[in-house]
Amino acid sequence: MRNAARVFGFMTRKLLRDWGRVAVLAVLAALAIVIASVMRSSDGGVSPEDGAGFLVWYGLSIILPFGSLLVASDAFGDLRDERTLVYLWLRPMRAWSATAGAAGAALTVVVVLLVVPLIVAGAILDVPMADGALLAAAAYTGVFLAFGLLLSRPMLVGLLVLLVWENVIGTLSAATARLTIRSYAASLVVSEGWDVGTPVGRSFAASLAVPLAVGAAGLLLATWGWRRAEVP
Amino acid sequence: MSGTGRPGPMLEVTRVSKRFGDLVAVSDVSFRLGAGVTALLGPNGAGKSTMLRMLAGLAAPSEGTVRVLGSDPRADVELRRRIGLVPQQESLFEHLRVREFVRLAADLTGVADATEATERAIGTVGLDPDDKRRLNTYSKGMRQRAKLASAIVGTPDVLFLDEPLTGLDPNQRNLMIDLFHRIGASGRCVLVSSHVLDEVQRLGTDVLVMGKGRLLAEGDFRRIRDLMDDRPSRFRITTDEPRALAAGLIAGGLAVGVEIHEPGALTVATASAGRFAAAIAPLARDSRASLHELRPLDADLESVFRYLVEGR
Repeated sequence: MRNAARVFGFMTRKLLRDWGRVAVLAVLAALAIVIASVMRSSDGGVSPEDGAGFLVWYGLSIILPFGSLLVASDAFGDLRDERTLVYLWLRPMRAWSATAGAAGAALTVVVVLLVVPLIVAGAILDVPMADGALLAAAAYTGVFLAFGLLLSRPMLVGLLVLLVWENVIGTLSAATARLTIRSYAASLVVSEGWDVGTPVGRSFAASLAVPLAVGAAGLLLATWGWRRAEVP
Repeated sequence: MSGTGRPGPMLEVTRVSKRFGDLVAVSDVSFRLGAGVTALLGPNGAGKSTMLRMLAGLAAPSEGTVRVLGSDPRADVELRRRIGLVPQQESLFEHLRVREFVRLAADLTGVADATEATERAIGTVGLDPDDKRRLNTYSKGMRQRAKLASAIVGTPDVLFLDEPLTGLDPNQRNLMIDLFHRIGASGRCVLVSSHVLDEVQRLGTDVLVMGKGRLLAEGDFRRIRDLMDDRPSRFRITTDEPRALAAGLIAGGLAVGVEIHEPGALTVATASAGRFAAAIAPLARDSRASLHELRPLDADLESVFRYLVEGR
Protein backbone atom coordinates (compact mmCIF):
# COMPACT_ATOMS: atom_id res chain seq x y z
CA MET A 1 0.00 0.00 0.00
CA ARG A 2 2.86 2.35 0.80
CA ASN A 3 4.37 1.79 -2.63
CA ALA A 4 1.00 2.48 -4.29
CA ALA A 5 0.89 5.77 -2.37
CA ARG A 6 4.43 6.61 -3.51
CA VAL A 7 3.59 5.89 -7.13
CA PHE A 8 0.42 7.94 -6.71
CA GLY A 9 2.40 10.92 -5.45
CA PHE A 10 5.04 10.64 -8.14
CA MET A 11 2.52 10.17 -10.93
CA THR A 12 0.19 12.96 -9.81
CA ARG A 13 3.09 15.37 -9.84
CA LYS A 14 4.24 14.12 -13.22
CA LEU A 15 0.77 14.47 -14.79
CA LEU A 16 0.35 17.97 -13.42
CA ARG A 17 3.76 19.02 -14.75
CA ASP A 18 2.36 19.19 -18.28
CA TRP A 19 1.09 22.72 -17.96
CA GLY A 20 -0.17 22.89 -21.53
CA ARG A 21 -2.41 19.87 -21.08
CA VAL A 22 -3.61 21.06 -17.68
CA ALA A 23 -4.44 24.47 -19.09
CA VAL A 24 -6.35 23.11 -22.09
CA LEU A 25 -8.41 20.74 -19.94
CA ALA A 26 -9.10 23.44 -17.35
CA VAL A 27 -10.27 25.86 -20.05
CA LEU A 28 -12.50 23.24 -21.67
CA ALA A 29 -13.99 22.35 -18.29
CA ALA A 30 -14.46 25.99 -17.37
CA LEU A 31 -16.28 26.45 -20.66
CA ALA A 32 -18.91 24.00 -19.43
CA ILE A 33 -19.55 26.26 -16.44
CA VAL A 34 -19.64 29.38 -18.60
CA ILE A 35 -22.06 27.84 -21.09
CA ALA A 36 -24.22 26.47 -18.29
CA SER A 37 -24.36 29.94 -16.73
CA VAL A 38 -25.29 31.53 -20.05
CA MET A 39 -28.01 28.93 -20.62
CA ARG A 40 -29.34 29.48 -17.14
CA SER A 41 -29.44 33.25 -17.49
CA SER A 42 -31.09 33.25 -20.90
CA ASP A 43 -34.64 34.50 -21.26
CA GLY A 44 -37.04 31.92 -19.93
CA GLY A 45 -34.20 29.90 -18.41
CA VAL A 46 -33.45 26.39 -19.60
CA SER A 47 -35.23 23.15 -18.94
CA PRO A 48 -33.38 20.42 -17.03
CA GLU A 49 -33.78 18.22 -20.11
CA ASP A 50 -31.97 20.73 -22.32
CA GLY A 51 -29.37 21.23 -19.63
CA ALA A 52 -28.83 17.50 -19.38
CA GLY A 53 -28.64 17.29 -23.17
CA PHE A 54 -25.82 19.83 -23.18
CA LEU A 55 -23.92 18.19 -20.34
CA VAL A 56 -24.27 14.68 -21.77
CA TRP A 57 -23.03 15.92 -25.12
CA TYR A 58 -20.28 18.29 -24.02
CA GLY A 59 -19.35 16.70 -20.73
CA LEU A 60 -19.86 12.97 -21.05
CA SER A 61 -19.27 12.66 -24.81
CA ILE A 62 -16.44 15.10 -25.38
CA ILE A 63 -14.34 16.54 -22.59
CA LEU A 64 -14.54 13.69 -20.10
CA PRO A 65 -13.62 10.79 -22.44
CA PHE A 66 -11.04 12.73 -24.45
CA GLY A 67 -9.62 14.38 -21.35
CA SER A 68 -9.36 11.03 -19.60
CA LEU A 69 -7.59 9.65 -22.66
CA LEU A 70 -5.08 12.52 -22.61
CA VAL A 71 -4.30 12.04 -18.94
CA ALA A 72 -4.57 8.30 -18.30
CA SER A 73 -2.85 7.03 -21.45
CA ASP A 74 0.03 9.35 -20.68
CA ALA A 75 0.60 8.02 -17.16
CA PHE A 76 2.53 4.96 -18.32
CA GLY A 77 2.64 5.79 -22.03
CA ASP A 78 4.88 8.77 -21.41
CA LEU A 79 7.28 6.67 -19.32
CA ARG A 80 7.36 4.03 -22.04
CA ASP A 81 8.10 6.59 -24.74
CA GLU A 82 10.77 8.31 -22.63
CA ARG A 83 12.20 4.91 -21.62
CA THR A 84 11.95 5.79 -17.94
CA LEU A 85 9.49 3.04 -17.01
CA VAL A 86 12.54 1.03 -16.00
CA TYR A 87 13.05 3.21 -12.91
CA LEU A 88 9.67 2.13 -11.55
CA TRP A 89 9.50 -1.40 -12.94
CA LEU A 90 12.82 -2.44 -11.47
CA ARG A 91 11.69 -1.72 -7.92
CA PRO A 92 10.51 -4.54 -5.68
CA MET A 93 6.83 -3.69 -5.63
CA ARG A 94 3.77 -5.67 -6.61
CA ALA A 95 2.36 -4.90 -10.03
CA TRP A 96 -0.91 -3.69 -8.54
CA SER A 97 0.96 -1.11 -6.44
CA ALA A 98 2.24 0.51 -9.60
CA THR A 99 -1.00 0.34 -11.56
CA ALA A 100 -3.30 1.30 -8.68
CA GLY A 101 -1.04 4.22 -7.79
CA ALA A 102 -0.97 5.41 -11.40
CA ALA A 103 -4.73 4.89 -11.85
CA GLY A 104 -5.40 6.82 -8.66
CA ALA A 105 -3.23 9.67 -9.85
CA ALA A 106 -4.83 9.82 -13.30
CA LEU A 107 -8.33 9.65 -11.80
CA THR A 108 -7.51 12.39 -9.30
CA VAL A 109 -6.29 14.69 -12.05
CA VAL A 110 -9.35 13.94 -14.20
CA VAL A 111 -11.71 14.50 -11.28
CA VAL A 112 -10.13 17.79 -10.26
CA LEU A 113 -9.79 19.16 -13.78
CA LEU A 114 -12.96 17.85 -15.40
CA VAL A 115 -15.44 16.13 -13.11
CA VAL A 116 -15.67 18.88 -10.51
CA PRO A 117 -16.38 21.60 -13.11
CA LEU A 118 -19.00 19.34 -14.70
CA ILE A 119 -20.65 18.87 -11.32
CA VAL A 120 -20.65 22.65 -10.91
CA ALA A 121 -22.14 23.09 -14.37
CA GLY A 122 -24.72 20.44 -13.48
CA ALA A 123 -25.63 22.31 -10.32
CA ILE A 124 -26.17 25.49 -12.35
CA LEU A 125 -28.52 23.62 -14.71
CA ASP A 126 -30.18 21.49 -12.01
CA VAL A 127 -28.73 18.32 -13.51
CA PRO A 128 -27.20 15.74 -11.12
CA MET A 129 -23.82 15.13 -12.78
CA ALA A 130 -21.79 13.71 -9.90
CA ASP A 131 -22.50 9.97 -10.19
CA GLY A 132 -22.42 9.78 -13.96
CA ALA A 133 -19.30 11.89 -14.38
CA LEU A 134 -17.39 10.13 -11.61
CA LEU A 135 -18.21 6.65 -12.88
CA ALA A 136 -17.44 7.58 -16.48
CA ALA A 137 -14.10 9.01 -15.34
CA ALA A 138 -13.30 5.79 -13.46
CA ALA A 139 -14.16 3.64 -16.46
CA TYR A 140 -12.25 5.69 -19.03
CA THR A 141 -9.25 6.11 -16.74
CA GLY A 142 -8.93 2.36 -16.16
CA VAL A 143 -9.18 1.53 -19.86
CA PHE A 144 -6.82 4.25 -21.07
CA LEU A 145 -4.27 3.52 -18.36
CA ALA A 146 -4.04 -0.01 -19.77
CA PHE A 147 -3.78 1.37 -23.31
CA GLY A 148 -0.80 3.48 -22.23
CA LEU A 149 1.02 0.46 -20.88
CA LEU A 150 0.09 -2.10 -23.52
CA LEU A 151 -0.08 -0.22 -26.81
CA SER A 152 2.64 1.54 -28.69
CA ARG A 153 0.20 4.23 -29.91
CA PRO A 154 -2.30 4.52 -27.09
CA MET A 155 -3.51 7.98 -28.07
CA LEU A 156 -4.35 6.94 -31.62
CA VAL A 157 -6.13 3.76 -30.55
CA GLY A 158 -7.95 5.64 -27.79
CA LEU A 159 -9.12 8.28 -30.25
CA LEU A 160 -10.41 5.58 -32.59
CA VAL A 161 -12.26 3.89 -29.75
CA LEU A 162 -13.88 7.13 -28.67
CA LEU A 163 -14.72 8.39 -32.13
CA VAL A 164 -15.82 5.15 -33.75
CA TRP A 165 -17.12 3.09 -30.85
CA GLU A 166 -18.48 5.54 -28.34
CA ASN A 167 -19.62 8.25 -30.72
CA VAL A 168 -20.76 6.31 -33.81
CA ILE A 169 -21.52 2.67 -33.08
CA GLY A 170 -22.87 3.50 -29.64
CA THR A 171 -25.45 5.88 -31.07
CA LEU A 172 -26.78 3.58 -33.79
CA SER A 173 -29.36 1.83 -31.64
CA ALA A 174 -30.38 1.12 -28.07
CA ALA A 175 -28.73 -2.27 -28.37
CA THR A 176 -25.31 -0.96 -29.42
CA ALA A 177 -25.56 1.81 -26.83
CA ARG A 178 -25.40 -0.88 -24.17
CA LEU A 179 -21.78 -1.38 -25.22
CA THR A 180 -20.71 2.18 -24.48
CA ILE A 181 -19.60 3.75 -21.22
CA ARG A 182 -21.39 6.96 -22.11
CA SER A 183 -24.81 5.31 -22.16
CA TYR A 184 -24.48 4.09 -18.57
CA ALA A 185 -23.11 7.39 -17.33
CA ALA A 186 -25.82 9.35 -19.11
CA SER A 187 -28.50 7.09 -17.64
CA LEU A 188 -27.51 8.38 -14.19
CA VAL A 189 -27.83 11.98 -15.35
CA VAL A 190 -31.15 12.03 -17.17
CA SER A 191 -34.66 11.36 -15.94
CA GLU A 192 -37.02 8.92 -17.61
CA GLY A 193 -38.45 10.09 -20.90
CA TRP A 194 -35.83 12.75 -21.61
CA ASP A 195 -34.26 12.88 -25.04
CA VAL A 196 -30.60 13.88 -24.75
CA GLY A 197 -29.38 12.54 -28.08
CA THR A 198 -27.80 9.47 -26.50
CA PRO A 199 -29.62 6.19 -25.97
CA VAL A 200 -30.10 5.88 -22.22
CA GLY A 201 -32.48 3.88 -20.07
CA ARG A 202 -30.00 1.59 -18.37
CA SER A 203 -31.07 0.41 -14.95
CA PHE A 204 -29.63 2.20 -11.94
CA ALA A 205 -27.76 -0.93 -10.84
CA ALA A 206 -26.30 -1.50 -14.30
CA SER A 207 -25.36 2.17 -14.56
CA LEU A 208 -23.34 1.87 -11.40
CA ALA A 209 -21.92 -1.59 -11.99
CA VAL A 210 -20.89 -1.48 -15.64
CA PRO A 211 -18.62 1.59 -15.56
CA LEU A 212 -17.03 0.32 -12.36
CA ALA A 213 -16.50 -3.10 -13.92
CA VAL A 214 -15.00 -1.56 -17.05
CA GLY A 215 -12.64 0.56 -14.94
CA ALA A 216 -11.65 -2.44 -12.85
CA ALA A 217 -11.11 -4.53 -15.98
CA GLY A 218 -8.84 -1.81 -17.34
CA LEU A 219 -6.90 -1.80 -14.10
CA LEU A 220 -6.56 -5.60 -14.15
CA LEU A 221 -5.41 -5.46 -17.75
CA ALA A 222 -2.82 -2.84 -16.84
CA THR A 223 -1.63 -4.96 -13.91
CA TRP A 224 -1.31 -7.97 -16.18
CA GLY A 225 0.53 -5.80 -18.69
CA TRP A 226 2.90 -4.54 -16.00
CA ARG A 227 3.87 -8.10 -15.10
CA ARG A 228 4.55 -9.20 -18.64
CA ALA A 229 5.95 -5.91 -19.94
CA GLU A 230 9.22 -5.98 -21.87
CA VAL A 231 10.59 -2.80 -20.41
CA PRO A 232 12.60 -0.65 -22.82
CA MET B 1 34.36 -17.69 -14.24
CA SER B 2 33.01 -17.98 -10.77
CA GLY B 3 34.30 -15.37 -8.37
CA THR B 4 35.82 -15.96 -5.00
CA GLY B 5 33.66 -13.82 -2.76
CA ARG B 6 30.74 -16.21 -2.46
CA PRO B 7 30.19 -19.88 -2.98
CA GLY B 8 28.52 -20.67 -6.28
CA PRO B 9 27.67 -18.32 -9.08
CA MET B 10 25.72 -15.13 -8.48
CA LEU B 11 24.64 -15.00 -12.11
CA GLU B 12 23.87 -18.09 -14.12
CA VAL B 13 22.86 -17.80 -17.75
CA THR B 14 22.07 -21.07 -19.50
CA ARG B 15 21.61 -21.32 -23.26
CA VAL B 16 19.80 -18.02 -23.45
CA SER B 17 18.53 -16.62 -26.72
CA LYS B 18 16.44 -13.56 -27.39
CA ARG B 19 14.62 -12.91 -30.64
CA PHE B 20 12.68 -9.86 -31.76
CA GLY B 21 10.72 -11.21 -34.72
CA ASP B 22 13.32 -12.37 -37.22
CA LEU B 23 16.14 -10.56 -35.45
CA VAL B 24 18.25 -12.69 -33.14
CA ALA B 25 19.65 -10.28 -30.56
CA VAL B 26 21.20 -12.93 -28.31
CA SER B 27 21.94 -16.46 -29.42
CA ASP B 28 22.57 -19.47 -27.19
CA VAL B 29 24.62 -17.68 -24.54
CA SER B 30 25.75 -19.40 -21.36
CA PHE B 31 28.00 -18.14 -18.59
CA ARG B 32 28.29 -17.97 -14.83
CA LEU B 33 29.64 -15.09 -12.79
CA GLY B 34 30.57 -14.65 -9.18
CA ALA B 35 31.58 -11.66 -7.10
CA GLY B 36 33.85 -9.00 -8.54
CA VAL B 37 33.89 -6.77 -11.57
CA THR B 38 33.40 -8.29 -15.01
CA ALA B 39 33.35 -6.33 -18.23
CA LEU B 40 30.82 -7.17 -20.91
CA LEU B 41 32.62 -6.21 -24.06
CA GLY B 42 31.33 -5.99 -27.57
CA PRO B 43 30.69 -3.60 -30.42
CA ASN B 44 27.40 -1.75 -30.74
CA GLY B 45 24.67 -4.21 -31.68
CA ALA B 46 26.46 -7.18 -30.13
CA GLY B 47 23.56 -7.91 -27.78
CA LYS B 48 25.08 -6.49 -24.58
CA SER B 49 22.13 -4.31 -23.60
CA THR B 50 19.64 -7.08 -24.37
CA MET B 51 21.69 -9.43 -22.22
CA LEU B 52 21.72 -6.94 -19.35
CA ARG B 53 17.98 -6.36 -19.71
CA MET B 54 17.37 -10.09 -19.43
CA LEU B 55 19.66 -10.32 -16.41
CA ALA B 56 17.76 -7.50 -14.72
CA GLY B 57 14.42 -9.12 -15.56
CA LEU B 58 13.31 -6.33 -17.87
CA ALA B 59 12.98 -8.75 -20.79
CA ALA B 60 12.20 -12.44 -20.94
CA PRO B 61 14.53 -14.79 -22.78
CA SER B 62 13.01 -16.45 -25.84
CA GLU B 63 14.87 -19.59 -24.82
CA GLY B 64 17.05 -20.65 -21.93
CA THR B 65 17.15 -19.59 -18.31
CA VAL B 66 18.55 -16.65 -16.37
CA ARG B 67 19.19 -16.99 -12.65
CA VAL B 68 20.34 -14.13 -10.47
CA LEU B 69 21.25 -15.14 -6.91
CA GLY B 70 19.45 -18.40 -7.64
CA SER B 71 16.13 -16.85 -8.71
CA ASP B 72 14.41 -15.85 -11.90
CA PRO B 73 14.74 -12.04 -12.04
CA ARG B 74 11.59 -11.73 -14.10
CA ALA B 75 9.35 -13.70 -11.78
CA ASP B 76 10.80 -12.91 -8.37
CA VAL B 77 9.74 -9.37 -7.46
CA GLU B 78 11.62 -9.45 -4.16
CA LEU B 79 14.84 -10.22 -6.01
CA ARG B 80 14.69 -6.71 -7.49
CA ARG B 81 15.61 -5.42 -4.05
CA ARG B 82 19.03 -7.00 -4.60
CA ILE B 83 19.54 -5.85 -8.19
CA GLY B 84 20.76 -2.46 -9.33
CA LEU B 85 20.74 -1.35 -12.94
CA VAL B 86 22.15 1.65 -14.72
CA PRO B 87 20.33 1.56 -18.05
CA GLN B 88 21.92 2.85 -21.20
CA GLN B 89 19.30 5.47 -21.98
CA GLU B 90 19.97 9.00 -20.82
CA SER B 91 16.40 9.80 -19.90
CA LEU B 92 15.43 10.35 -16.28
CA PHE B 93 12.38 11.65 -14.47
CA GLU B 94 13.18 15.11 -15.75
CA HIS B 95 10.85 17.00 -13.44
CA LEU B 96 12.55 15.71 -10.29
CA ARG B 97 15.64 16.91 -8.46
CA VAL B 98 18.43 14.43 -7.88
CA ARG B 99 17.47 13.97 -4.25
CA GLU B 100 13.85 13.24 -5.21
CA PHE B 101 14.91 10.85 -7.97
CA VAL B 102 17.20 8.81 -5.74
CA ARG B 103 14.81 9.03 -2.78
CA LEU B 104 11.99 7.57 -4.90
CA ALA B 105 14.24 4.62 -5.69
CA ALA B 106 15.15 4.24 -2.02
CA ASP B 107 11.52 4.38 -0.90
CA LEU B 108 10.28 1.93 -3.51
CA THR B 109 13.16 -0.42 -2.70
CA GLY B 110 12.25 -0.30 0.97
CA VAL B 111 15.58 1.04 2.19
CA ALA B 112 15.52 1.35 5.99
CA ASP B 113 16.91 4.86 6.45
CA ALA B 114 15.98 6.29 3.10
CA THR B 115 17.10 9.85 3.84
CA GLU B 116 20.57 8.84 4.92
CA ALA B 117 20.92 6.25 2.13
CA THR B 118 19.85 8.82 -0.45
CA GLU B 119 22.42 11.36 0.68
CA ARG B 120 25.13 8.73 0.86
CA ALA B 121 24.41 7.39 -2.64
CA ILE B 122 24.34 10.88 -4.17
CA GLY B 123 27.55 11.81 -2.36
CA THR B 124 29.23 8.58 -3.48
CA VAL B 125 28.80 9.52 -7.13
CA GLY B 126 30.02 13.05 -6.51
CA LEU B 127 26.75 14.95 -6.84
CA ASP B 128 25.22 17.41 -4.39
CA PRO B 129 22.15 16.06 -2.55
CA ASP B 130 20.99 19.64 -2.00
CA ASP B 131 21.20 20.64 -5.63
CA LYS B 132 17.98 22.51 -6.36
CA ARG B 133 18.20 22.14 -10.12
CA ARG B 134 15.92 19.68 -11.83
CA LEU B 135 17.36 16.72 -13.68
CA ASN B 136 16.42 18.18 -17.06
CA THR B 137 19.18 20.75 -16.54
CA TYR B 138 21.85 18.12 -15.86
CA SER B 139 24.72 17.38 -18.23
CA LYS B 140 25.22 13.90 -19.64
CA GLY B 141 27.86 13.07 -17.07
CA MET B 142 25.68 14.25 -14.19
CA ARG B 143 22.79 12.17 -15.52
CA GLN B 144 25.00 9.09 -15.59
CA ARG B 145 25.92 9.71 -11.99
CA ALA B 146 22.31 10.31 -10.96
CA LYS B 147 21.38 6.96 -12.54
CA LEU B 148 24.22 5.28 -10.70
CA ALA B 149 23.14 6.81 -7.38
CA SER B 150 19.63 5.50 -7.99
CA ALA B 151 21.02 2.04 -8.76
CA ILE B 152 23.24 1.78 -5.68
CA VAL B 153 20.96 3.42 -3.10
CA GLY B 154 19.58 0.03 -2.06
CA THR B 155 23.08 -1.49 -1.75
CA PRO B 156 22.31 -4.22 -4.29
CA ASP B 157 24.20 -7.51 -4.35
CA VAL B 158 24.25 -7.48 -8.12
CA LEU B 159 24.87 -4.36 -10.15
CA PHE B 160 24.39 -4.13 -13.91
CA LEU B 161 25.83 -1.10 -15.64
CA ASP B 162 25.14 -0.46 -19.30
CA GLU B 163 27.81 1.82 -20.73
CA PRO B 164 28.01 3.75 -17.44
CA LEU B 165 31.10 5.76 -18.30
CA THR B 166 29.64 7.45 -21.35
CA GLY B 167 29.71 11.20 -21.00
CA LEU B 168 31.99 11.28 -17.97
CA ASP B 169 35.21 13.26 -17.98
CA PRO B 170 38.49 11.41 -17.29
CA ASN B 171 38.48 12.30 -13.60
CA GLN B 172 34.91 11.13 -13.16
CA ARG B 173 35.71 7.93 -15.05
CA ASN B 174 38.52 7.19 -12.66
CA LEU B 175 36.25 7.80 -9.68
CA MET B 176 33.54 5.57 -11.09
CA ILE B 177 35.94 2.77 -11.98
CA ASP B 178 37.33 2.92 -8.44
CA LEU B 179 33.77 2.75 -7.13
CA PHE B 180 32.98 -0.31 -9.26
CA HIS B 181 36.09 -2.03 -7.94
CA ARG B 182 35.16 -1.18 -4.35
CA ILE B 183 31.68 -2.61 -4.85
CA GLY B 184 33.10 -5.71 -6.51
CA ALA B 185 35.68 -6.16 -3.76
CA SER B 186 32.92 -6.13 -1.14
CA GLY B 187 31.63 -9.48 -2.38
CA ARG B 188 29.11 -8.17 -4.84
CA CYS B 189 28.76 -8.91 -8.53
CA VAL B 190 29.31 -6.01 -10.92
CA LEU B 191 28.77 -6.47 -14.64
CA VAL B 192 29.76 -3.46 -16.73
CA SER B 193 29.08 -3.28 -20.43
CA SER B 194 31.20 -1.20 -22.73
CA HIS B 195 32.34 -1.04 -26.30
CA VAL B 196 35.37 1.08 -25.40
CA LEU B 197 38.42 -1.14 -25.01
CA ASP B 198 40.38 1.32 -22.94
CA GLU B 199 37.59 1.49 -20.40
CA VAL B 200 37.25 -2.26 -20.22
CA GLN B 201 40.97 -2.75 -19.73
CA ARG B 202 40.81 -0.48 -16.70
CA LEU B 203 37.83 -2.32 -15.29
CA GLY B 204 39.92 -5.44 -14.82
CA THR B 205 40.88 -8.56 -16.67
CA ASP B 206 37.66 -10.59 -16.46
CA VAL B 207 35.65 -10.15 -19.61
CA LEU B 208 32.69 -11.54 -21.45
CA VAL B 209 33.11 -10.81 -25.14
CA MET B 210 29.96 -10.67 -27.24
CA GLY B 211 29.60 -10.26 -30.96
CA LYS B 212 26.55 -10.63 -33.18
CA GLY B 213 24.52 -11.89 -30.25
CA ARG B 214 26.92 -14.68 -29.35
CA LEU B 215 29.28 -15.07 -26.44
CA LEU B 216 32.65 -15.23 -28.14
CA ALA B 217 34.85 -15.67 -25.09
CA GLU B 218 34.84 -15.36 -21.34
CA GLY B 219 37.46 -15.20 -18.63
CA ASP B 220 40.76 -13.39 -18.18
CA PHE B 221 41.49 -11.77 -21.52
CA ARG B 222 45.19 -12.60 -21.23
CA ARG B 223 44.31 -16.27 -20.92
CA ILE B 224 41.88 -15.95 -23.81
CA ARG B 225 44.75 -14.69 -25.92
CA ASP B 226 46.90 -17.64 -24.95
CA LEU B 227 44.18 -20.01 -26.03
CA MET B 228 44.03 -18.55 -29.49
CA ASP B 229 46.68 -20.92 -30.74
CA ASP B 230 45.39 -20.74 -34.29
CA ARG B 231 46.48 -17.13 -34.38
CA PRO B 232 50.20 -16.29 -34.54
CA SER B 233 51.40 -14.15 -31.67
CA ARG B 234 53.38 -11.09 -32.65
CA PHE B 235 56.44 -9.64 -30.95
CA ARG B 236 58.49 -6.56 -31.59
CA ILE B 237 62.25 -6.97 -31.20
CA THR B 238 64.90 -4.28 -31.45
CA THR B 239 68.42 -5.53 -31.90
CA ASP B 240 71.76 -4.55 -33.41
CA GLU B 241 71.68 -7.62 -35.73
CA PRO B 242 68.15 -7.77 -37.15
CA ARG B 243 68.99 -9.79 -40.27
CA ALA B 244 70.98 -12.45 -38.44
CA LEU B 245 68.29 -12.80 -35.82
CA ALA B 246 65.55 -13.02 -38.46
CA ALA B 247 67.44 -15.73 -40.29
CA GLY B 248 67.91 -17.67 -37.07
CA LEU B 249 64.22 -17.40 -36.18
CA ILE B 250 63.14 -18.72 -39.59
CA ALA B 251 65.76 -21.45 -39.67
CA GLY B 252 64.84 -22.60 -36.16
CA GLY B 253 61.14 -22.78 -37.00
CA LEU B 254 60.36 -20.22 -34.30
CA ALA B 255 58.72 -17.70 -36.62
CA VAL B 256 56.04 -18.02 -39.26
CA GLY B 257 56.75 -14.51 -40.45
CA VAL B 258 59.34 -11.80 -39.90
CA GLU B 259 59.28 -8.17 -40.97
CA ILE B 260 62.44 -6.12 -40.67
CA HIS B 261 62.08 -2.41 -39.99
CA GLU B 262 64.83 0.12 -39.83
CA PRO B 263 66.66 0.83 -37.69
CA GLY B 264 67.13 -2.58 -36.09
CA ALA B 265 63.53 -3.50 -35.43
CA LEU B 266 61.76 -6.75 -36.22
CA THR B 267 58.14 -7.78 -36.01
CA VAL B 268 57.99 -11.53 -35.53
CA ALA B 269 54.88 -13.70 -35.89
CA THR B 270 55.17 -17.00 -34.07
CA ALA B 271 52.81 -19.93 -33.77
CA SER B 272 54.03 -20.71 -30.25
CA ALA B 273 54.57 -17.77 -27.95
CA GLY B 274 55.86 -19.99 -25.17
CA ARG B 275 58.47 -21.75 -27.32
CA PHE B 276 59.48 -18.42 -28.83
CA ALA B 277 59.96 -16.82 -25.42
CA ALA B 278 62.12 -19.71 -24.23
CA ALA B 279 64.27 -19.81 -27.36
CA ILE B 280 64.82 -16.16 -28.24
CA ALA B 281 67.60 -15.46 -25.72
CA PRO B 282 69.78 -18.47 -26.71
CA LEU B 283 69.15 -17.70 -30.36
CA ALA B 284 70.27 -14.10 -29.89
CA ARG B 285 73.40 -15.29 -28.15
CA ASP B 286 74.16 -17.77 -30.95
CA SER B 287 73.51 -15.06 -33.54
CA ARG B 288 75.76 -12.63 -31.65
CA ALA B 289 72.84 -10.20 -31.46
CA SER B 290 72.04 -7.95 -28.54
CA LEU B 291 68.37 -7.77 -27.64
CA HIS B 292 67.42 -4.19 -26.79
CA GLU B 293 63.68 -4.72 -26.63
CA LEU B 294 61.33 -7.69 -26.70
CA ARG B 295 57.66 -6.74 -26.51
CA PRO B 296 54.46 -8.67 -27.23
CA LEU B 297 52.29 -6.74 -29.66
CA ASP B 298 48.98 -8.50 -29.20
CA ALA B 299 48.68 -9.61 -25.62
CA ASP B 300 46.35 -6.74 -24.88
CA LEU B 301 42.60 -6.64 -24.89
CA GLU B 302 42.42 -4.82 -28.17
CA SER B 303 44.02 -7.65 -30.08
CA VAL B 304 41.80 -10.19 -28.35
CA PHE B 305 38.80 -8.11 -29.31
CA ARG B 306 40.04 -7.69 -32.85
CA TYR B 307 40.54 -11.40 -33.26
CA LEU B 308 37.26 -12.41 -31.70
CA VAL B 309 34.92 -9.80 -33.00
CA GLU B 310 36.45 -8.57 -36.20
CA GLY B 311 38.17 -11.79 -37.18
CA ARG B 312 41.55 -10.27 -37.89
